[in-house]
Amino acid sequence: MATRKKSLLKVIILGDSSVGKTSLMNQYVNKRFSTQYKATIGADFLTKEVVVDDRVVTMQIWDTAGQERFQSLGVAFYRGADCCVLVYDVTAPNSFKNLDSWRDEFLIQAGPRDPEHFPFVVLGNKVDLENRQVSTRRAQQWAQSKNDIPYYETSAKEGRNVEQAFQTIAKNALAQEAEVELYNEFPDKIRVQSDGNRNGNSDNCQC
Amino acid sequence: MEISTESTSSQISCAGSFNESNSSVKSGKSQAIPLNLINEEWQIILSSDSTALELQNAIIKCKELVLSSLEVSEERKWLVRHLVEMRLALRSLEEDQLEKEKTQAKVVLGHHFSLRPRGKSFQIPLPSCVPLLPVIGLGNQNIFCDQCTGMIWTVLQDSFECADCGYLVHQKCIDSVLRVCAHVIVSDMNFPISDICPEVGLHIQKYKCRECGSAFLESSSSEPRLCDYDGCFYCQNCHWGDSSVVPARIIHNWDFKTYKVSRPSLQQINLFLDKPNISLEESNPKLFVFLSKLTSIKKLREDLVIMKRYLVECRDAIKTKLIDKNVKDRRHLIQSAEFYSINDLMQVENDALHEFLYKIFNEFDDHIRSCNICCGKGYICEICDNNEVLYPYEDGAVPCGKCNSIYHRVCWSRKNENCPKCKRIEDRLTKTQVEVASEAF
Repeated sequence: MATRKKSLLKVIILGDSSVGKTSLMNQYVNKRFSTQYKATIGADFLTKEVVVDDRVVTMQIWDTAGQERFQSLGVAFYRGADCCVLVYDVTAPNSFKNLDSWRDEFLIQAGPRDPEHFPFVVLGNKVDLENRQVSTRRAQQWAQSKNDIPYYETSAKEGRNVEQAFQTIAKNALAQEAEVELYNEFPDKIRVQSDGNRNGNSDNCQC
Repeated sequence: MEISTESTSSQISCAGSFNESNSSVKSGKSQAIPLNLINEEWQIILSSDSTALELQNAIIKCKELVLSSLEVSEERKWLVRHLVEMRLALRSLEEDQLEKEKTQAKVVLGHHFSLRPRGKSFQIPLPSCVPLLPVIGLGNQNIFCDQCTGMIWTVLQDSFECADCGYLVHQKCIDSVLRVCAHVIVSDMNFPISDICPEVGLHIQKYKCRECGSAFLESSSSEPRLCDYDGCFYCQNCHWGDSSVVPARIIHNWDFKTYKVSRPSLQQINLFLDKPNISLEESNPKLFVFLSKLTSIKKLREDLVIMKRYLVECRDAIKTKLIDKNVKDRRHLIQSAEFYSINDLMQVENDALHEFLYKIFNEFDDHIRSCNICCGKGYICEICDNNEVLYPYEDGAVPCGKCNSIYHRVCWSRKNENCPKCKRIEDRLTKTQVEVASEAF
């Protein structure tokens, strides 16, 4: 059971609108950047193959709508996530303040087995801009207070730190996978793909 | 005119081609132009796509050259032959023009008339989705002129048909058409007449036909005929006793029987058939209590409206044109659950609509449950925290009216309809308010 290989890592990118979630994903997956802003509607994913510790895994990166009015549908895709990326804009203090609620919402909706140790990564995006408002120290303090979340300062525009950040994301996601495997007798249970039909979860309320 | 065979050798080679090329202006190519006319070539030899005016000018020029050429010379012979060819070409060009004018669409009182091919048997342009059709009274092969009411002998007579309302008319009657195109009236009205046969009386009409204004006289044989759709009286020429369903009777009485209507009314009703502009629940709310099949259609449509939100956001569904393929041109059915066309209502009655919508529902449901992107946008019931993905269109799911979260119906009522997400949002709000207040101090 412990040697079971999971080749798909599910990563969710969250954060306020226009902090650069889609741009970060596009920079990482397609190596492209556009200066034009287009609000993401609903949610969609891109996939990318990555090598982590000599293992080839497919990363399924879910990009989400930051604007509430474009998020009219559910977020069942949080379930079974292996890592959550919280993004804020270093020039927008509000987007930083809201990280708390993004994190809380994620933990509730995703319902991970061990919320305390679930891997998050925080990205402060748009460091190429000059009117910076959130200091590195403030962000680092917050990240540390939340169980030492890794923190990166990125620029999707210039591609700065994007590769490194996602490398960490993949690594932490995989590590969490391994940990879960150790004490998970029924690993399929937490995978969202497998619960299209009701599987016999006798411990949970079936309603 | 004969072609001399004893002419110079250069001409012999092309002699005999006259007969084949006599209608072609290009004959100059096969029939080499005599050398001493070479200077005039550009003026008299034209390409096949030249206009009538160019041809006319060339003919005049050619005529001058004929007159100025020597008698019984090769030049004259060539020129005369060329002149004949050009005149023939001009004639055929003019005939084409005439034919074009005749077949071109004519616009009279909003009608867009086009010439019907002769001998064409009558085909009613049926609305796209009508299985039963008690509407159109004309079932036989004979067709009649809407203007003079006489038969149109399709083999012998030219006739026109309006592309918008189907008005048929002899060619000879086209200039005396009185009726405004039903399409114009219908697009002005938006809704069919909503009162059932709103009859007022002949005195309001001054004892005249509503349509053509001919008087109903005691001496004349014409009797006033009542149209059940608009409640007005028409003469025999304007009311042929056609039967049709009447929109107001369907909406108010759920009555799909056919009634006698006038010609203009029939043409208008036919144009209303496919227009989704009847807000049935507003016009007749009790009908939904009274008719269970209407209730189930309404539920299906509400579900489809929700499903559509998934499909318009899904790149796979967009790529495979899932909506277009299934719904085709009846997009209004999934746009909202409110509006019906008369055809829709007729299909409610004969269950065709339920079948149609149910098929779409299954197609959409199959996609949403199997598609990675759509699946991701399902809901997890936060109250029981079961891993089962819920969709807002499911029977067992219920939405929070405020934040749109979806819960199991049972969990929702167990929690006394207290939404945990709304509570969190509220808590966060008070927390930030407290923070702001303390910062102010």
